Amino acid sequence: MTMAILEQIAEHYQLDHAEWKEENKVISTNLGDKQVRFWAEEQLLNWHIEWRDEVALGMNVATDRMLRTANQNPWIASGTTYITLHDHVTTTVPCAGYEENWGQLIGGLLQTGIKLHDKYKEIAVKNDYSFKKCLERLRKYKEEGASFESVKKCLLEADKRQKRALELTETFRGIPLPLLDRLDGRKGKEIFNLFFYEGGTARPELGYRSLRIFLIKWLNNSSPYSLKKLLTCINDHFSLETEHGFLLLAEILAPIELYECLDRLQESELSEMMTILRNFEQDWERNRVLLHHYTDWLDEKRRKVAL
Amino acid sequence: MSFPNEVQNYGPILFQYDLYPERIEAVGKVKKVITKRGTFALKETKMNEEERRWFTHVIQRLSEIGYHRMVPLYPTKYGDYTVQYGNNVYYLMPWFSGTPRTSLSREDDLIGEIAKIHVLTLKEQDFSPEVVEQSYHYLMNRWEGRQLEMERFAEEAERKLYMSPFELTYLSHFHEMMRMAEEAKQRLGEWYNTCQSEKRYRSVLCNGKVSRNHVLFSHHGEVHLLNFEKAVLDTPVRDLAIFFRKAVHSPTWKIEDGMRYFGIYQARLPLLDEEKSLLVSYLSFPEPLFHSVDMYLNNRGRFTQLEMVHRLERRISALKRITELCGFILMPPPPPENEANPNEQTNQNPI
Repeated sequence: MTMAILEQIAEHYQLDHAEWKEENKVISTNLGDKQVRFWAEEQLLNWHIEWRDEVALGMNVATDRMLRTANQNPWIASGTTYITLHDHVTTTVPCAGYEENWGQLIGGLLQTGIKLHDKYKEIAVKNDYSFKKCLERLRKYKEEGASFESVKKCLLEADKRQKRALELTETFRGIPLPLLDRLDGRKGKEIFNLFFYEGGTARPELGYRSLRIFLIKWLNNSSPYSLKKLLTCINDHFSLETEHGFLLLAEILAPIELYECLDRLQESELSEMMTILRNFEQDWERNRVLLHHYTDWLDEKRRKVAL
Repeated sequence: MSFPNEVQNYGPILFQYDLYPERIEAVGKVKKVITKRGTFALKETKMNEEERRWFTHVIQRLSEIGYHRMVPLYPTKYGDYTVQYGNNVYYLMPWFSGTPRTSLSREDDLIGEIAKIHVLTLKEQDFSPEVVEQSYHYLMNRWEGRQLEMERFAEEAERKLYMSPFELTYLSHFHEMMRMAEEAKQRLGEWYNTCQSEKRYRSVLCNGKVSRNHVLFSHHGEVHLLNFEKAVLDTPVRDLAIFFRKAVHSPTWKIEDGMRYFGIYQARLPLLDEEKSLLVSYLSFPEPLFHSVDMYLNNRGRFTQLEMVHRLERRISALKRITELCGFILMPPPPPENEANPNEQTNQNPI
């Protein structure tokens, strides 16, 4: 089967030589190593082709776009499966020092995510977070006699944050949210001094959740200075001084870490609970730091406009 | 000339073609890229998004309609025909370094290929009196404005006690220039009147940057055209005017050459009477001379008086060649052989 796929790939992409380097993942060819991906759903495949092409257009960042066959097709069909071929780049890049590249990429992803919103919103993963559900869960734990001090301590602040987040989303109701491929700092790579981003294969995510998680990790791996530089670079390509900056703020304000913690607690054994709560405390603190620096950055931008 | 650093500089672009250069050489405006997979020409240019799309469309369209004598573009591994990197746009072509298979001159080949493209893309436009009127008035106003500027320059020069050599040369040909400008305006008027009365206007795909330097030969010696970056839909006269304006600058130019080039074109796509008027109009207007005056006024420090005078004199002599050529273009075609002797024809008429 895998040999047949290999032959099919070699024929359609006109490769003189192709052999598996990692079965069903990476092939070694006369044109260098290439990644092989399999897709079951056409609409999902189209989303992944389109955002990669759009983001790479006119930008100095490359995405792992689908290589074209000899007939200029971005995929080949093998039964009910679609196969795509991509560049395989292995040199990863850190966050700090690459703010401009990441900023350009994320700006491009956000622009594209809004442009393609209507076309692919049906296949997107929607945000199922609800603070109401969160409180219900907490009430249930209370009734069962469980009392999580670290969670209780955060409730007041979580409530405030939730209300502010709701106000913002209400103010900007009707503004289309971007569809984003899950952002991942480990997927930033480099080849020939060219910043290269390796996309995923999952469904697009609606909204700024993916960016929020990415920014928390960024801050954790670099510094507030680097985070603000990144935000400025994103802003150069996709304005965060508009409603979208506030929608990102709403996402950062929403106490999702609390919801996720309660969600995990529900399914966990007693032995795991301590770890989950410790992680929650850490996540809560990290998000607070992000919120502080993001609002600080927004204020700086506003002050500059006022001056 | 080889630049080791250039291999690195062009890496991000060549990566999109899966090319790993062994050597890159600068040859004119292109880079010769030598790789294990062959030798390629990489062109660096400036285009905005719309121009890129149009350029790609032109190349694909020409191929679709059966014109295969342009140097082909290679798509990237992602299927794009151009690559944007930084502020520049790049495209990759095969490296052509063959020699011509025939003994024709580059100009003969060039005009023949331009004519082929015009024939393949010729389109009788839906006649719009407004469009023709707008074009006429735009050009007429522009030319009159330019004439006024040049008259002012002549007046200022005349008022000087000691004229510069450039001014002296300019003044000694001033009346001839003005006569040519008037001739150009008159022919433009003829074009306009005929268009309005005949209610017709033809457009073709113009190369827009016709140059003998854009003629290359494949390994089999077949002529190919390079550079369609400025291609545009317009009257065929646009390309012809550019072609002849450049051709008359050749040091070996003879009127017979011009007649032959025009003949090659006419054999494929005979110009309509109003198009001939427009061609003569474009060619007659002494813009190259006026441009020399602009250069004289704006770049005084960059060129010496002698250089400026030489430049002006070269253009004056080119304009004289143009005048001669225009006379030929406007000559009525010889009557067909069976009309050569009207008496004979009458005799043949059974009535």
